[in-house]
Amino acid sequence: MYRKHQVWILSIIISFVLTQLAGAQNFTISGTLKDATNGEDLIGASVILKEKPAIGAFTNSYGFFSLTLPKGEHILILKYLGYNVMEIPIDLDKDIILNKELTPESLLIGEVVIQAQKDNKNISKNEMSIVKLDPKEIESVPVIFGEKDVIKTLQMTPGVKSAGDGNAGFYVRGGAIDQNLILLDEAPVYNASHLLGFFSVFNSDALKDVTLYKGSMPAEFGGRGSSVLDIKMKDGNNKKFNASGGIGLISSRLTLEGPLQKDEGSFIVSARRTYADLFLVFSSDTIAKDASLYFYDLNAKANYKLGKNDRIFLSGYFGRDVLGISSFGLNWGNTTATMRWNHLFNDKLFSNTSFLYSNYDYQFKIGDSDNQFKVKAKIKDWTAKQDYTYFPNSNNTIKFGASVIYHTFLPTSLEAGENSSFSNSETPNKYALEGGAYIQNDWTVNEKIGIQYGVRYSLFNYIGEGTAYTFDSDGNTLSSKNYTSGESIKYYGGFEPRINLKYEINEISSIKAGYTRNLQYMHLLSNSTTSSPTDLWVPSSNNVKPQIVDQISLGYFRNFKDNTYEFSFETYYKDLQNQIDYRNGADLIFNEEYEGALTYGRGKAYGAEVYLKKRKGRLTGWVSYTLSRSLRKFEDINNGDYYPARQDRIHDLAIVGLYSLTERIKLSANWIFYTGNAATFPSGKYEIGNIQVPYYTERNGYRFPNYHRMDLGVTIYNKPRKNYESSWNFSLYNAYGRENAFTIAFEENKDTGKTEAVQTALFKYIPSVSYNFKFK
Amino acid sequence: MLLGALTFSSCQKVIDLDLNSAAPKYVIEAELQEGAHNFRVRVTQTSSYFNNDAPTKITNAIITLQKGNESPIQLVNNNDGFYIAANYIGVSNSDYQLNVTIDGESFQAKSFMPPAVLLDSIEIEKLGKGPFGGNEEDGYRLFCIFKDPGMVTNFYKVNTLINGMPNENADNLIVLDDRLTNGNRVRFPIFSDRFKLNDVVEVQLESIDESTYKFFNTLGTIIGGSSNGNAAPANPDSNWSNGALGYFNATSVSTKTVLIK
Repeated sequence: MYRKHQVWILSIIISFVLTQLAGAQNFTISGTLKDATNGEDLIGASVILKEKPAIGAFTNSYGFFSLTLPKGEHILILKYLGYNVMEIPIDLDKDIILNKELTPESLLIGEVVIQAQKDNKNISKNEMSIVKLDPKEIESVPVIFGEKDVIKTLQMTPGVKSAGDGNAGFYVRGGAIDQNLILLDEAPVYNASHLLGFFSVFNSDALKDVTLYKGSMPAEFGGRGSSVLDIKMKDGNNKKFNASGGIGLISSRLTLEGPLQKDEGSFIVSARRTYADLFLVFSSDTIAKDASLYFYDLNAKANYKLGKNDRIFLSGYFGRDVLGISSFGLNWGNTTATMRWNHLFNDKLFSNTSFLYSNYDYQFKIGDSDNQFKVKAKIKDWTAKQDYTYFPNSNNTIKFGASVIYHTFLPTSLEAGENSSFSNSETPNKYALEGGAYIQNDWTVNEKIGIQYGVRYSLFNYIGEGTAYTFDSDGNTLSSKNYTSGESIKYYGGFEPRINLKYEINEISSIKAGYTRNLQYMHLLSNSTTSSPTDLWVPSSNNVKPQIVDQISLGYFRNFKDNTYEFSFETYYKDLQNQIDYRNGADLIFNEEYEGALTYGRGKAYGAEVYLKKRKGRLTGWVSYTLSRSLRKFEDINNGDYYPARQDRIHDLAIVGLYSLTERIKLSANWIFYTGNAATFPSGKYEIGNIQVPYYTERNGYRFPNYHRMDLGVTIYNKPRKNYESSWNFSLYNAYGRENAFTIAFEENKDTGKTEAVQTALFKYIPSVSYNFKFK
Repeated sequence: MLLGALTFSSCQKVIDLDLNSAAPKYVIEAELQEGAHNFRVRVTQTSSYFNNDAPTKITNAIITLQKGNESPIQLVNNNDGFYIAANYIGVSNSDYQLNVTIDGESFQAKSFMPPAVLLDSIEIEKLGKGPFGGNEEDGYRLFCIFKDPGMVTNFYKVNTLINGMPNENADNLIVLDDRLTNGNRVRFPIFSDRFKLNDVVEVQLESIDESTYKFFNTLGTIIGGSSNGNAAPANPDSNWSNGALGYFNATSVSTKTVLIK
């Protein structure tokens, strides 16, 4: 019954696509748009017909566009935010190739730029629930330790919440941390944090484009319930060699980039290392003196054109955290590799083939030599992916493709030294295949109406070699069955419809609505509230069902004062099925039968988001406010009643202001306020022996104190010289020293024996300074 | 400890919070040892969290103990919240059931008394100052050494007494299972910043059943500030029926005493 319904939807979509393909005979203009100074592809730049602005195309992730128009004379407008607009007259009597380079608007800071053309992409583009960050734009937003971080800037936009003070983990529209699909050049990143969550793994120097889909994600993305964070690395300057970097209090960065062959190919290598541990040498504590505490990461990418129609890209990320204190050692890191091949079959059919590798692992050891024991865990993916974009005419863009991922999970294994009390515990690997196929059309119905509609079919096959367990209702193991290599243990699959509608009321306002379904087959088990390196990724199985997340959203978009101000109001409702939590006292690590410790429930999240951004002038910045709830319901938690999820923060406000005081001095300030996290506090206590024990009643029935802080920053650009530019950045995180609760512990005072609530605050007045430079 | 390394600017303070007062619940604690001992049961009540008076004693309970299918015996009410069976002889490899009736409400708990696993020896190690040595320049760490029986699943609780006084607080609650050590010679470290030179330390290795292990293991996750950064805390798994808190532990104990020198 259900399946029939899905087939019906699919056939409607296909027939829609087919009817739209039958158009008049026209000619096609195709090509790429790049930055004139460094040859970087421009993503999402627009190519618009001057006489009829509703007709046009956007460049894809590789800067490619294709636009089919009737024969005749036209004027094309090429534009991209922050670049000078270009007008190209063409006389179209055959298919033509148009490769153009746009020059950035005057690089001088603070100059008021008069834009000849309207710039209302947020109104007219058929996409919503999306946040785009230009890593350049956020450069001067003050952040903790002076380490600019795209994820921390995203946390100041509507619907995105931080996992804690200074933490790079994030929640999107009430979803969990593991419901974010984080892609770096298409490769999934399984643990996006450094230093126990205080930094993200993304070095902004190496990034070109950051897009977060909070809903209405295109059908090409799948696999996580709540969001897609699509991060693209820079390609490297293909005009000339240059070096840039920064020296900060706790880390330094260096980026080298240049052409492999002028205009044909380029490379970029960007490295970063923290040296917090260097300060430990000055510590009076002998243990701290020998401690190590640092991370490093390396981004590298190269691309090369092979003739007119082909281009290949190789990119990789390698990062590692090392933490050692006395005989304790912990290290973890991600490795990703991406190989891509762009091929143009003709001026209307663009193809990209990708091979991806992603690995996340951690290990920790305790003790020395014979007494030592080591714990390891790992998740590894191999992916093959084929995507096509077909541009049949100026009103339709069709994307279709398929992907397959081979997952290997090593949950946790224990390796014990000879004299250790522990036995070796080899938890066997688990294997799974994940696949997806999609088709989507972006249809401009007329000047006012746009429809983006598509469907994704995803599948997941949990396969041997492995052992599948069954459990009774209390989580005790009932039976186990062994499977041979490649044998199917459990298969899941399902359709994920996606639709987005746009109605443009006029040039400065529009209404958009969307519905998406996302299936999630991989789950993160974590005993801690913030992201931790020892969190465990596990597959769906005979016990763990895929998470199903349905979301509807509705938004109103309006620009003011000649597009100087962008305003949006969005609401959403999200239904979450097959959510996972743990039984009390769950042992998740070294436990092959961890599934017995899990319990399943559902959730709902809803909210309203208001966003007002000033894009131009000496003062720029934004105000972001979110009113939202996120609730969960599990049969054996909280008497089966709905309770607030930890990330249920009712109010969330961020104000970000950037002000150009003079041409070379830029000031910045943020103010953040949010409702304290939902938390479980005791509603009583009792004694066991002499120990005071808190007594808990309802789950997450209390709140942390409200969180707020202000950050200040100033960037001073030194007078540029012919081959050298530099700047100083000073910032003060938590400028008025608010002690925001990171944890609240309920414990017995060891001296008085009285029970008390003890709040720990992490960051109070964190000043930082960094020096940034560029040789060119 | 991991966070400690990072929190060079962290600050702690005691804060005022407005907490609800939940309806009082009964708390029943009972430990029955192998051999002849005074078997004592304590019955108290929960109070509000910031109340610092001694817990309310329940003095009107009727308590009976039953071994296997034998006829139950009634404990003597000491009228101070304690109920006693004097010189009761606990027998290992037996099932015990405790029945408590308070104002017409009744509560049951069952516990199996496993046979004792013998402590082999205690080792003493002197520590320098550091993360495992506490704040004392000359702290000590003890190792209790025993052979875990390979054929069965074992659970243990380790207690220490310093100069005859129970070393009992949130930091010194130790329970073990043999999931990763089954059949091995176990050398388990006991950290306590209270061990000092010339102390006489008695180490007790209790063999306990799974329900007692679950209680103390889940208790350990919510006391003594260890809840920092952990997922939502919950009440410990009790083996009492009908919503009573606490535990009934039938246990066999092996003891060794050392002088720290």
